Amino acid sequence: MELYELTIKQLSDMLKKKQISAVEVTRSVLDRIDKLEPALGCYITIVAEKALQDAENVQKDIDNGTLRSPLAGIPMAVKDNICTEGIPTTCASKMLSNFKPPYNATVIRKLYDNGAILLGKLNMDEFAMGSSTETSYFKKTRNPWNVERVPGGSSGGSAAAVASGEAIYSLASDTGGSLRQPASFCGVVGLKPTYGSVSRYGLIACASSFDQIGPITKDVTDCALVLNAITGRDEKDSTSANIEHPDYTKFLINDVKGLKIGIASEFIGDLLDKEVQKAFIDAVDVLKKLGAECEEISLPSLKNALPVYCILAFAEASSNLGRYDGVKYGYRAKEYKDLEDMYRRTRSEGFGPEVKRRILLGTYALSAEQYDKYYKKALQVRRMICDEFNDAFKKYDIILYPTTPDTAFKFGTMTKEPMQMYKHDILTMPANIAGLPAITVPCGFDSNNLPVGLQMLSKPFGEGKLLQAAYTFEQNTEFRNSRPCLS
Amino acid sequence: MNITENTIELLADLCKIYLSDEEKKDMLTSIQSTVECMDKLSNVDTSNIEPLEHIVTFVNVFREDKVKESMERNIILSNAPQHEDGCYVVPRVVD
Repeated sequence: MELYELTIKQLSDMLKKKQISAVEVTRSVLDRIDKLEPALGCYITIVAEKALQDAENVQKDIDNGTLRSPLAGIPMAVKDNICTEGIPTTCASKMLSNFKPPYNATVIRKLYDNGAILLGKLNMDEFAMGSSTETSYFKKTRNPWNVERVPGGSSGGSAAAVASGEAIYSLASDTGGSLRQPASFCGVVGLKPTYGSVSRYGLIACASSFDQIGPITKDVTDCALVLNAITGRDEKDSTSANIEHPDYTKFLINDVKGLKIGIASEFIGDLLDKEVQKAFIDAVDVLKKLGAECEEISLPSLKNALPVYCILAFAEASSNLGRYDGVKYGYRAKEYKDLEDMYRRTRSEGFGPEVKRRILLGTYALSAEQYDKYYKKALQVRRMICDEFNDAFKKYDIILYPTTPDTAFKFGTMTKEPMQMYKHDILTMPANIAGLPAITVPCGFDSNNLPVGLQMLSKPFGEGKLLQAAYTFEQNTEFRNSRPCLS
Repeated sequence: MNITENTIELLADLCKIYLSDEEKKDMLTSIQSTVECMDKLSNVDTSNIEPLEHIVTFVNVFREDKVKESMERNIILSNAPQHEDGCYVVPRVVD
């Protein structure tokens, strides 16, 4: 096996035994990037020289015993909306195409402290608005399982890079499914932590009460390893939780006996593609046979998740994107008459159509005449959804449903009708609306050999239970060993 | 309220965005269908439900109010499209 094919855990063990060096691993992944990048387009920026230099330095610290983290010497990449000091952070937008952050996001600082090797910045939908990575200003990213299909989005680059061996793991952000949906489409593991588990300092805001950073990895063990490194209170993010996080690897236990699992009946049946439904039912059977107690439950408020998300997430985004005015950073129009005209031309030329659409929609929902009808109403229904989840978690450890209604779709099939694209995230939005942790693990393939994802949700800060259930499922199925065939 | 081309123009104006005629046409259709979806909430009975302003229930975490070094001005300005003498440069604001 080539080094780029291995997991964090496998590589870390080999590094500790001095069977390989951090430079060798980094070279292996950089060679893989060289080979596949023209076909897949996962990266916006690649920092090969820096990566090799960092790998050399980290190897010295591994050798002299000052760096013992399992992430030390492991090459990874991050979504291009996470600030990296001195390295372009574009949000896949013309608006930030020349932006070099003067600071690192807290997650980047934490990963560097653990000896992580940054390979580059990954493609995404512009400002994380989209479900296919097609709204990127720069390029298309292709699904490694079938290059005629989208990798999902908005974190399409983050998922495709891990699935193809162009990164050992990646970081992504999840506002309505932006991490889990592409992880599912690309057949890898993705975890959206509880809102507040991971600092958002340095994550370029999309919808602030929904956004959360999480890992995309090849398996559940790696997911726990990255989670250990990135969680924790940060005084630079006032919404980061002031709690003691456990060692998440302690939850990598192959046992679900007695685990109470509720299957949300609203999210199975007609809503799903038949083959996704079949893979899901098979997955439930696996968990039942392993001793989990699975039963159907009803969460009727979930049917309102889509309008709640559209109103609140777009309202927050429209407000967050007000800062792009061509003054302090980012793009400025070349020609303008006066200050007002400069603002307007800058925003008109700097933003793509989907971003403009969401700014308009969010502004509509927040306008004085419509505020009660949309924004206030959505906040009320958001509470109903949260209350319903809270009640369910009094009885169940895990709530289960598929990650997406169908598998990776072809390019261009949903761009003409944005509402269809929004609907595609119907199964992932509820976790963001309620701030819950949610994980996706591969649970099968459709007849086109495209991966299907199984989604598990838990109560706030219940990441441990999620990891245990996901790990058990993974260890008792073969899907984690499947990788796309890429020449 | 029906979404018309006038609504789109008004919203674009509020958002400080110019839209071409073609963009307006595209926006009108897609925004209409999204607003139709948003309208579905009108049927939900929310009487006696308090709006959920914050999904996190933690209490404030305070820190000491200490003066710390902040980022250097020239580093911040290095991302500005135009700057001069340590200040951002913008078109004339006051005549």
